[in-house]
Amino acid sequence: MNKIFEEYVDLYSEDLSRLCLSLCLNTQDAEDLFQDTWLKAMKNFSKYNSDYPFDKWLFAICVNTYKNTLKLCYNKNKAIFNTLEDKEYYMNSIPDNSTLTPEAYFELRKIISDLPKKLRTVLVLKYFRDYSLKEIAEMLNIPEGTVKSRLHNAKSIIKRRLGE
Amino acid sequence: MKNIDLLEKKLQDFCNVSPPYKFSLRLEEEKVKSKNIKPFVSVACAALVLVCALAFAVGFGKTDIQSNKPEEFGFVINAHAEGAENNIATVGTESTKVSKEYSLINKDYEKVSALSVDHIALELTGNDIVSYDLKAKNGILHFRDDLHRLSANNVIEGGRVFDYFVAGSELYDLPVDTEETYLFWLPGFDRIEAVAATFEEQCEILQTAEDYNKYFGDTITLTVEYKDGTNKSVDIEISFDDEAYAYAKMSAVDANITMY
Repeated sequence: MNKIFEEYVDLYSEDLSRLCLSLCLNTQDAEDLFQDTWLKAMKNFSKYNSDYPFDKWLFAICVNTYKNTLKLCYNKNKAIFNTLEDKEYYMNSIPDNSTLTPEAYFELRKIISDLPKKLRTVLVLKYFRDYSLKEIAEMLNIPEGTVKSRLHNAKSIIKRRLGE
Repeated sequence: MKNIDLLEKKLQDFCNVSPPYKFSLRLEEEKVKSKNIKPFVSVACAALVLVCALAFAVGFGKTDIQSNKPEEFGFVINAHAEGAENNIATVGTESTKVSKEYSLINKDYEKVSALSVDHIALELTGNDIVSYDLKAKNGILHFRDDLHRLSANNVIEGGRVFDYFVAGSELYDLPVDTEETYLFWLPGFDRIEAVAATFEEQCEILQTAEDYNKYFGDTITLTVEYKDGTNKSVDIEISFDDEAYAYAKMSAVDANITMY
């Protein structure tokens, strides 16, 4: 493996894990997506333009792989956690000043997992890194207006289902 | 904190909880190697299954297709009606799992405005399905064939609409290529134009559930064919209420189907 690429793997694996789990909401699919994303990135690394932020390039590969791979939502109803210890660890990692209690986390997770894939993708990109509508449009190769309406739709559904 | 701010914060927190998992990249060689092994393992497993099946058939004089687990014959439909890209319509979803044994319908209604329906998507998931047939009873919803074909190739978006159902026609034996297949429907253009031509007065013209259903309501019959040759059908009824919100209601067509 190219040494520079290896450094990128070290640097971005944690964020990519988080993105994959936010999109897939279960460990099996998330790990498949993680592997597929890095393998595609490795294969196309020679085409990567270093003027462009690597994380955005990598995450664009990730969301497009997710979007175009139907089987990656096949396990969406399976548990996000492998073990109870994992669940506990996850819950403990929620910061004290967070708006989410464990119960609220699971409620939100259920609502987000019910969203159509394309709404979920836009929503996760927005809140994962606070990407702008323009940046998300570039990453997904869709018009900015489409990003805006999908984001609005996603939030409307969540808001209504949360009863807010 | 305002509700909208609170929601923003919740979503930020949701997407930024550090997971206990940090996946590790498996080296390409390992991945390639495992991919090369898979066919061999599959062939070996298939051969083993065949040998066992033959031994079973010879020993007992028959093979038993019904020995599959019941859930392997079920399928799951997620239906949602989605608004056009540039409006603020909401999306409706409904999940119904259909099997030979159980029934559950009308779960978790969501809503979408009739006047902004862009398409109705049915997401079909199941095992041992070889094909499915489709029929729109009233000819109001038209099957969007190009999107289906693109979906079968793992491309969900894009493409021009070039092939529709005509009212009352049917499509048969559409192959299922993936574990999950998306079927897209949209209201017939003539009906949308009929509404668009009177856009200014639409509130006067379309006021009741009956009005909305006249333009947009329809029932799609989906028949799934299994590997063992059996067929199962469900009706997915798309209807609208007095506020122009859409509902998807699923019901079994076959007397021998129960749903859950």
